[in-house]
Amino acid sequence: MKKLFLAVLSLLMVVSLAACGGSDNNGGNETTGPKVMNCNVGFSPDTFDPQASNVLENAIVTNQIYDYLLRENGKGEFEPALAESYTVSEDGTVYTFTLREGLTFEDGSPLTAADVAFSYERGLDPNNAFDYAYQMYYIKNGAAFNAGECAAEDLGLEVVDDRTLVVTLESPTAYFASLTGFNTFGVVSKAYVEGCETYGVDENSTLASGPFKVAEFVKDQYVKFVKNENYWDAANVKLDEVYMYAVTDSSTEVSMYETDKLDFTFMSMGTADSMRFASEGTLKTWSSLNTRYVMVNHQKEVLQNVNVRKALVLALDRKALAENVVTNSVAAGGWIPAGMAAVDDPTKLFREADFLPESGDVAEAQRLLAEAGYPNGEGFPTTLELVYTTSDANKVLAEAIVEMWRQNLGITVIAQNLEGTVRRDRKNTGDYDFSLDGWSTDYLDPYSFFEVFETGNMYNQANYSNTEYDKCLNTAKNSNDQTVRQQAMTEAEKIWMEDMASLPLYVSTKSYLEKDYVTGVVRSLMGQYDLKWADVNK
Amino acid sequence: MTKYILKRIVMSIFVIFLIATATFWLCRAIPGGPFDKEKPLNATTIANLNKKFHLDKPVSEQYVDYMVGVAKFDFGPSYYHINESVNDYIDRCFPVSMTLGVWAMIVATLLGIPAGIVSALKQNGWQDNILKVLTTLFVSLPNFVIASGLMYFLGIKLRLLPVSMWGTWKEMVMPVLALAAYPLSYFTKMMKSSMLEVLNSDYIRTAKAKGASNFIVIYKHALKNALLPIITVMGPMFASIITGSFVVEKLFVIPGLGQEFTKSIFNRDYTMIMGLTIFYSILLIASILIVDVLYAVVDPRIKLGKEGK
Repeated sequence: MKKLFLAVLSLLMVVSLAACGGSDNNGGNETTGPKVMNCNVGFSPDTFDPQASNVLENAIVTNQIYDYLLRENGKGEFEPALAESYTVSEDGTVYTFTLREGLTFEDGSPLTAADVAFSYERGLDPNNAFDYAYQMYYIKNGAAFNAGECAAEDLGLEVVDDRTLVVTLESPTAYFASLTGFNTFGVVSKAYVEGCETYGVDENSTLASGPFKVAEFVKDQYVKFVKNENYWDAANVKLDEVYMYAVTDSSTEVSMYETDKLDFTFMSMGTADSMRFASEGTLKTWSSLNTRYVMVNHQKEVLQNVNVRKALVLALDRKALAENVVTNSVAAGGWIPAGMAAVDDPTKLFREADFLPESGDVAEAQRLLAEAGYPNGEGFPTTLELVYTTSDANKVLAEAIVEMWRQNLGITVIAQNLEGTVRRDRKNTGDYDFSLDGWSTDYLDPYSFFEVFETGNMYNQANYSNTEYDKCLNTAKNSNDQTVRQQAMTEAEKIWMEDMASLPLYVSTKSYLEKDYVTGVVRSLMGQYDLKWADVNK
Repeated sequence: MTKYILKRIVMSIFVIFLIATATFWLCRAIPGGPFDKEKPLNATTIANLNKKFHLDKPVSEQYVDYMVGVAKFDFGPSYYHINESVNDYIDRCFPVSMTLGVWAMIVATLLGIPAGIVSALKQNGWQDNILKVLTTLFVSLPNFVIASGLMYFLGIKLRLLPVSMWGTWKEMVMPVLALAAYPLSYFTKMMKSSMLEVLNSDYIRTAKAKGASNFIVIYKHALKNALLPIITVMGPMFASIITGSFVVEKLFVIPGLGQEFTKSIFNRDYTMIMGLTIFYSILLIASILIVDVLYAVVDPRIKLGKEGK
């Protein structure tokens, strides 16, 4: 009896296990019909509303659905999209956009200048409380309207006729035309939005003006797009369907890529995976405009000495940090990332030569520290902290930095991890010494980097201030002459480096995998993705 | 019995009130707020957001508004997820976590209890030795290792199962196994020790002496009593498993509740933190209550509502 009982039990276990393990192979669903692309953005969109979208990953989703007056083509150029042309007034404050003829939304309803004006206006509406409203502050009275200080009618937006929109700016903004290609400026339908209770919740409350329309949305799993046949440039859109997944774990993403569920990867890979693919030679890289740096708090007395700041950056072997500690990256030669183009000549780089030797200069660093009154690190405070947001990658980097400082300068700085929001809170209140930070751009102009260190700027948590620097910035901001702007900003970076406003480390590069049959995926300098020209040729 | 249950329910409501109050104030005590972004927002935008979410009112007023909402099971809008309220979120994600959790519990119970019995009856035999190794392994391995291992062998090497997503039974197999591994091993170990203890007790010896067959002794006399400790842990474990697992959901791309438990804290999504905490508390308190009632069913010595005797 006992044996029978045990036999039944064992059988039960075996059967259950077999039931769990057995299944037939479902792989290889090759299609010869529609062209389908499978990709991941590591995020499930909270909204399909381009004005409401407030993180890059969400903006990547909306970027496929909407079109703009100008659209970035992946070479750092903004080419006419909904607008076939535009003119700028002599003083650089009035932009007149002429829309293409016969533009429509996905449902065939006409897309007019009034829809464009409406999209911009709702982006600024204080009742909507959109995070990215500030991107539209360049429009006359934009900031005032967003603060509830004036009416929508006072905005610098004038609809002349169905195809003509006149935008008046607060002050000349040389890069305004390219700003209209930013996702906050995506064009939505006035009639449709006004008829929705909440716009952009799912496929039934979203109306595309761009290359793809939303066909199906399963929150936290995927978005399915299909080609928008009513898009003005539909002839150049090659994909019929796009599945955009919300995989948040990079090892899962790699597994899906390896089992052919994804055509390219999106997230930054773990070290083991990236080394494996690098050795196989399949790892590809691209770089958006960003600089990783150590933000220095200029309110701390010891850090107010410029020689201390210079010693700290020269004591770092930034080449080793970029190539060995974080891998696949390039030492930063200054504050502006190396890939930034000159504003007066897009074929040239903004900065021709690097300011800093990529491996540092330990002897000079030691000399500067001694000159500052701390020979061999003697007398240097031992309580300073380098705070960083908790993550494995940040930890390794922060430890490497403080170790280089200890070895080369004989000073002790404590690497302190903090939860992201706590670190931001301490930066906001000035309660930090060094912070491991990064900056990337929202619009393609070097000014987006310089403003971070402008006196009184809300991003200036380094509390850096130099009137000469501010003067250069003022010129760059208000001039309409790109040659003048280029000169002013070149001067600004020189001042920044002479003051060593903070400590540049490296320009980070993203590595990814992409199947051989994929072409035309645009990865922009601002970290944006565009599948408009993408194709799969299996 | 009914009186006892009613009394417990009243007490539970009071406990939930305390939990809601504590969570409300603790959320606001952690540094940073819901609108602290990596790229700081300007003052106008923050003012607009505070107005939109009524965070511009005095905190005491926010507290009263919130508690009134909780009483009506309305946890308010999420501060982080545009377009989604906390209630929407729970409505959408809880059924998924629940399905996953219930399956994991079924697997763990159906395999764990028999395995524990086998282990106890064959103490130090080969069956017991194999189970000892396996249970120790799966109790100590974190579930992301188990999940990654399953994904690697069943998903990538053998290509038997899809490595991610949720919906079909094939997509459910790996996450269920990954989630079941710990409770399964835990139940096995517990069942074994509990069974051994019961088998050595006097009444079992009496039953054997009276000539009852092995099957009757094990099934009728020993099993019921040996189950008591399992039932004790099963309640809270059930509550925690059906509310989702951060790791398993993240790895297998499952739209469940688990990830948001952690993410809402990083995002300082006050309403989401509070809503999920209260929701979890209700489940936990309910499961403990059910366990207490089950005691009385399984063990005739336990009489509810008659304290001291």
